[in-house]
Amino acid sequence: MLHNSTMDETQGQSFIVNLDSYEGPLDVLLSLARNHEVDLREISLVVLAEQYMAFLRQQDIRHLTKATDYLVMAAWLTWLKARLLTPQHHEQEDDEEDPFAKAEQLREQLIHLNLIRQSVSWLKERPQLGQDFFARPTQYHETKELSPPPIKLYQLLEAYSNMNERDEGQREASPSFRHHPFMSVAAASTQVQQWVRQPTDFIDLVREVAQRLNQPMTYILIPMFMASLQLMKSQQIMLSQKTMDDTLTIGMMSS
Amino acid sequence: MNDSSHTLLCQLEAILFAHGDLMAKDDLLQLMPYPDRLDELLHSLENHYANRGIRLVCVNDCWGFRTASDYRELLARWQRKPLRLSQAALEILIMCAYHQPLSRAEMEAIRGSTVSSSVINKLVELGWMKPAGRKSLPGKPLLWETTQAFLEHFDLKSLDHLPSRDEIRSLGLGKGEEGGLFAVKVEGSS
Repeated sequence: MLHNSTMDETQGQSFIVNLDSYEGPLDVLLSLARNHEVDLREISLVVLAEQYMAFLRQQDIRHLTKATDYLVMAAWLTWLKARLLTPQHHEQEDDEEDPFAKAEQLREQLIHLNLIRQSVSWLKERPQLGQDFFARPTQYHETKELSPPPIKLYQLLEAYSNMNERDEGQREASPSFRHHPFMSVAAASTQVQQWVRQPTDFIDLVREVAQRLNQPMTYILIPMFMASLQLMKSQQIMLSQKTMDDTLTIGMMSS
Repeated sequence: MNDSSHTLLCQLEAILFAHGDLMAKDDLLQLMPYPDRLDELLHSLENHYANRGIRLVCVNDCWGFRTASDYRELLARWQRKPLRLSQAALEILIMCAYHQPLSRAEMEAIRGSTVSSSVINKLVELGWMKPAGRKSLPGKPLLWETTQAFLEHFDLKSLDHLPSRDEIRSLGLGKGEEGGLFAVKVEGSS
């Protein structure tokens, strides 16, 4: 009797088959089919359908949502089994309902999935980069030519004189030597490298890092700017500003 | 081999060594403008390195040096942490390699179960899969394809070098080899 599958034999023993160890109804069908150790093309789908039902009956189905796919397959297989066993009563039905065509389709699907599985085994046997063979670590980066910022010389001079004027004003005020603790530039550099991904507003980045570190923005603003300039020099990040009044954007240097 | 050929071969070798990573033939042509000779040069360099500790490899018409896989134990100290990919992820990767471009619904149809976006994200993160436009169907589902990095990682010259249906069958793989995958979980019966 073909019914005497491993599933039936083990019924009654303390045998817990867990739906979680399967990835969907096709997976169950395929593993049941493989227990037969015959070519998938020759396996009887009627027998397979019965075994599937037997398998499902063993399951402790409490979570219907998890088992939906399995139950849909069960219903469909019941239909298929009935049609395959009594084909003569359904001759009048159109081709789309042809149980043999449907059975063939399921068989094809199982064969396909089996091939995918076998290809995965093949892939696992392949030598892998960084495991079995190695590439030369690239130490030298190609230098990227950046176009100069679109500003005119007079704008640069204007900015410089504005800065000087600001300084003048400050110099006249009485000097103060309040001590401000600053983050080290090295630490700021780590922060910048850690958090910069997509191009963002530099000030937003500073605000974000300040919040993460629970520090005032003054603690990190200057170190982070200096670190950013260094990182830009080594071509790891990009700082850009479209116009003089525009926000400063910081982002990773695309490789 | 005459002197000029030898010089060209040395130049090519120097370029490929300095570049470090695999280099597209188009980029090579910019540095070595000999379109009619480049193939010949690459192949003679490939032959030259065929029995050395490093090999000249070609992936999708990109060329570069890799160590020979015979010396994996010797180079173990540089080994990266092995990737732990789920069976589902590997299946999706293989499906994509064979049938690309593939939408998520199509992957689900082949596997007969849901394909979670985290699995796809993982493969995208590894750089082995990338979006390949959208299918002209209602909902415009995103399509996925494998990348050059996938081929490079598994030492595949091109997608054509994936085994055919018959080759897979004749390898006799997949029987009992997966162990954990097909083994039925038996609790308290040992």
